[in-house]
Amino acid sequence: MTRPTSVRKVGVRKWAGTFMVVAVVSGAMIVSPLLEHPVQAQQSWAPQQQTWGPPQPGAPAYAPPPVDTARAVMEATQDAQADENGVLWFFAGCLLGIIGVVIAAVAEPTPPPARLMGKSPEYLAIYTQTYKSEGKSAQLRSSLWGVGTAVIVVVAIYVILIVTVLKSQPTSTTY
Amino acid sequence: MGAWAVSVAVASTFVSAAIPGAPVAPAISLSASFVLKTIDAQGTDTVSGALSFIPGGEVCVAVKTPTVQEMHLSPRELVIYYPERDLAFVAHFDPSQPPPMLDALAAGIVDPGSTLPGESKLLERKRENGNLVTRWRVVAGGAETGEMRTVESRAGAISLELSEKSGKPQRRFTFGDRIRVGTHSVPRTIVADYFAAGGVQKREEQWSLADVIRPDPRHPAQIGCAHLRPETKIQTLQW
Repeated sequence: MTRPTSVRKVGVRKWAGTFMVVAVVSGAMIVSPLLEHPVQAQQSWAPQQQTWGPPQPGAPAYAPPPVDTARAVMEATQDAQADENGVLWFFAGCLLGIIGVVIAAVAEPTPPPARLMGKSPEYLAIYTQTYKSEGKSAQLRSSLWGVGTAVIVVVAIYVILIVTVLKSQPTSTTY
Repeated sequence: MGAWAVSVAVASTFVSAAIPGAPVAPAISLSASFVLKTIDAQGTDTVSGALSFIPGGEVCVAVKTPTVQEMHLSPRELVIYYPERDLAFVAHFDPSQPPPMLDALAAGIVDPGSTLPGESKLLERKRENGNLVTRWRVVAGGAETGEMRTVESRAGAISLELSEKSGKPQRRFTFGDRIRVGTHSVPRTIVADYFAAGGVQKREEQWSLADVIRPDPRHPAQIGCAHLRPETKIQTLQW
């Protein structure tokens, strides 16, 4: 007793569809946390050199105070995440697919100038760098969710169509 | 090929629309002293100084406290200068990029409707307690991103609120009493509330303007316009 070729083909397609959905969802689950904090991700696990205290002989005495640096990173991260237009980037990924993701990866979010007023040069440099890095990763995340959602919807529609077509065809049984 | 072209066109719309807070610099000439209080989870920051709007879309800011700093915002360039250290940060922009703007101030001076993307639609316009209430659907790149609601009196805008599609607020600007400077009406106080996704308030900016004047065009006061000297240390700022 053998299964007809058409049934075998549909089985393979179904399996491929399911595999694709699982791959996209797993991929998103793996990539998403990596994009979560790119600034921290760039830091090494090795013990960090202590940067505060009196400057070394001959070293410039205008090193940023650590509190200012930590505050700049924290504020930039919060601002970038809050300013990101998640809905827009989600739809960019959804409607444009990979092009939307590429744009999200390339487009540079710009920090609000009011946040830089009256701040030290060190704060300014760190804030700008962190804001852009966090903003870019946030928009990339949203666009990836958009692509993932679009892929799942398309696959689901495809599966439903196949099932509908199969159900509407007269069944052929081989004895 | 056609589909690719459409995708690229839509994509470019997304890029231009995705950058938040971009009211265009108003073509106005005024000088004022200011106090800006920023309240967020970390506490309250107070910055004071003077600023001037120059026709052509340029803004110069001279911060006096807590750090002496001069900021020059123009359509193609942002310069932040520290005169005490003779150090400047310079950022250049593409013509496609919206220039950076002090959005709370710009929102108080320009016509609210003019700050929206071109595809946005007017939903409602009605009179309420003698004021004009307007509601817009904000559409960028073909996608609806939220709503804008403005309340305007004869003197100018009283409040402007941008909200998400779900109705949760994103930004809210509330303007105090106004003063006429040439053809423009300038609010003396502005409260700008910024909200994180989900409508949680993350920061409030309180602007107070004093000594608002229209400078003599023959002798424009170059307040804080970051005039760099040949020996100024310049660092490029990635923007």
